Amino acid sequence: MTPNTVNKRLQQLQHKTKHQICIEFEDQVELIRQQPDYISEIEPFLNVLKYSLHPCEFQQQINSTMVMALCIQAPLELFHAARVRIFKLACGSFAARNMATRSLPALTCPMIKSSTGMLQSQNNFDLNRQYMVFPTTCDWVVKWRELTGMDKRQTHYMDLPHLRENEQSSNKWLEELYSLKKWLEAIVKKSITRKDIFKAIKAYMDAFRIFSKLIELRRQQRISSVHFAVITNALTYDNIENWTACTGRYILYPFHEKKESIPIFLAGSPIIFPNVKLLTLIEASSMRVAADDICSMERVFPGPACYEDKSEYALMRALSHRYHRACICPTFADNERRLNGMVNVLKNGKIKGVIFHVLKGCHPYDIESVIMENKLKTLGYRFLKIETDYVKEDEQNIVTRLEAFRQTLKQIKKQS
Amino acid sequence: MKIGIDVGSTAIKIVFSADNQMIWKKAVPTRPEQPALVNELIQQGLDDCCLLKKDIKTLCTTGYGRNLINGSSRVVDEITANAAGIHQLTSGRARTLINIGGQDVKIIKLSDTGRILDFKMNDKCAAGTGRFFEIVAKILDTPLNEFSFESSDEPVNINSICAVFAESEIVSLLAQGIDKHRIIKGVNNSVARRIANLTGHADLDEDVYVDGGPALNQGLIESLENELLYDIKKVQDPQFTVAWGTLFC
Repeated sequence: MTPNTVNKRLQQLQHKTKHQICIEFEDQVELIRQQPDYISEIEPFLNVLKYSLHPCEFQQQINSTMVMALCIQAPLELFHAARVRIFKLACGSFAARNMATRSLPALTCPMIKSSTGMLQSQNNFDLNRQYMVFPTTCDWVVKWRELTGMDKRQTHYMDLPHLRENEQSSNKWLEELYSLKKWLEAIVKKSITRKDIFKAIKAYMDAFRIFSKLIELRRQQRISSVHFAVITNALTYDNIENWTACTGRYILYPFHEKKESIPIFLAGSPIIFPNVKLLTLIEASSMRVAADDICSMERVFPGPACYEDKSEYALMRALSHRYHRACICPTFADNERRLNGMVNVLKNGKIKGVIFHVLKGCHPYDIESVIMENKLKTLGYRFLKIETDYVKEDEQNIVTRLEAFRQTLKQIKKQS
Repeated sequence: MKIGIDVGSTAIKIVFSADNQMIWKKAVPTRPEQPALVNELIQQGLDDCCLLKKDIKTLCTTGYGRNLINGSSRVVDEITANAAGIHQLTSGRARTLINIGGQDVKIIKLSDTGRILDFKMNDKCAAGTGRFFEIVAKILDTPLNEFSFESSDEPVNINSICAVFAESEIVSLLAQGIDKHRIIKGVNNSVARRIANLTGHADLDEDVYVDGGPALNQGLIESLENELLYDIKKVQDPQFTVAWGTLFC
């Protein structure tokens, strides 16, 4: 084939994939709009999420520098302080995966495959001209740059210490934050001041305050987990002040408690819009996600940064501490905090069952599922592991398991 | 009179019950137009038992096509139905149930009261399921009811864990002139290994039962016993346990 034919074919494939991505997104949005719990207050988030699938359009509308991040381990506050806009590279489109199958191993994590395909489907998008941050969490993230052949000049790695319950690791992660700060300063050609960091922390604290109310609404089973996922997924594509305002308006809606559904805790691999298959199936099986520790949902905020004073060091230390100690990523070797946090929520929320979502190819969560299953079952909780990917063909198989799981939880309820 | 129907992925099973006794049963391969097929089966059962539609007090459905059937008084998932069925048929002796369905395998742990304590189910993969046996039967040109036989022949090793690759492996074995009985034994062992992997080789509470259509294959039961190191029991009509269980949920 001549280079011209190859280029033409690539353009056709890009066009086709992008078209399918748009259809997939619109179909999911339409489904949300058709639900009885639809309220117009969800629209701003759906509008923001549209850009999550089109980084070129995102870049055009933000009026500032875009920095992509493969993982939320990099403190959002620092990007805000640098006045750059973060674009979280996490895609939930099944159609997007088609483009990436040419360059990635067959058993690649679906999210990585989809994100790569989504970027490759962009016309006139030069990956090598993008700024990208890689916190070294899972192997897919670590190797992504090499897999895609991305030039390393515009990338920044944050070396995440996977043993965290010691001072040495904390200091190491703080150094990484300073290094990120320096890299961002070089991009914007401007110093990030103590005041910038303080303002950013405050903006995210304000957001967290509103977010806590949103969490409370879900605990009370007043809002659906699909809405919750839409709102949390939108965070990393929106201006934080706008996101806070929109969430503030959303929570003012007079929601009613939804009856006849059994609360469960959802853990595991991220749920990325538009792939909300599992959430939809859980709700269709008369259960409701009352809480989760998923990094694209309830754990999208690691919590408020608590500083001792307003010095730059104290602020940076607070951020470092929050994003390292409070993180529940399964790549950590000492993850007792995760289990303790989960059990706490289970006890307080009177939740008896945990559904553990594993995306096929997401090895850290697959490993973690075994550890969690053993520990949670020992504590008397019901545990269901659902291993799936972005396809829809396994829905019936999943529904069977979810319905049987609900029955086991109903039996516990009857006994108590 | 009560009717329990299991609209499975490869077969539809239907049972009639009167005074907690199975008075009629039938299993037919699944085909398109399932609701019409179910109606035909119901009519056939009514005719055979000299009953009328008005005699039907309860109609319960389960299985992959459970929501397609109109007029159900109860729709239950097949795991719950299976647990209830085996509990009733074994008078509460079953503590572990291995169900080998058309396209999935389930391991269900039960309490002495028939409560589901835990369950596992394989993902979307035909290996180790009834569908796998069907594929093998087609290649070997041997009906499934001939998969149980007495033979001292050494089984061949079927190494592929994927049903598609196993198919090519079997074709290749046939081309080498390997006797089909050795291949069938190898297939039974291969499926038993897959099921044992799903159990995680964990300790199983006894009595351990197996059901589903493939449980009719005594060769598979023996392979399972060798692999799991437990005595494996089965009920008289293992392919009807799930349909029967719908009546006791």
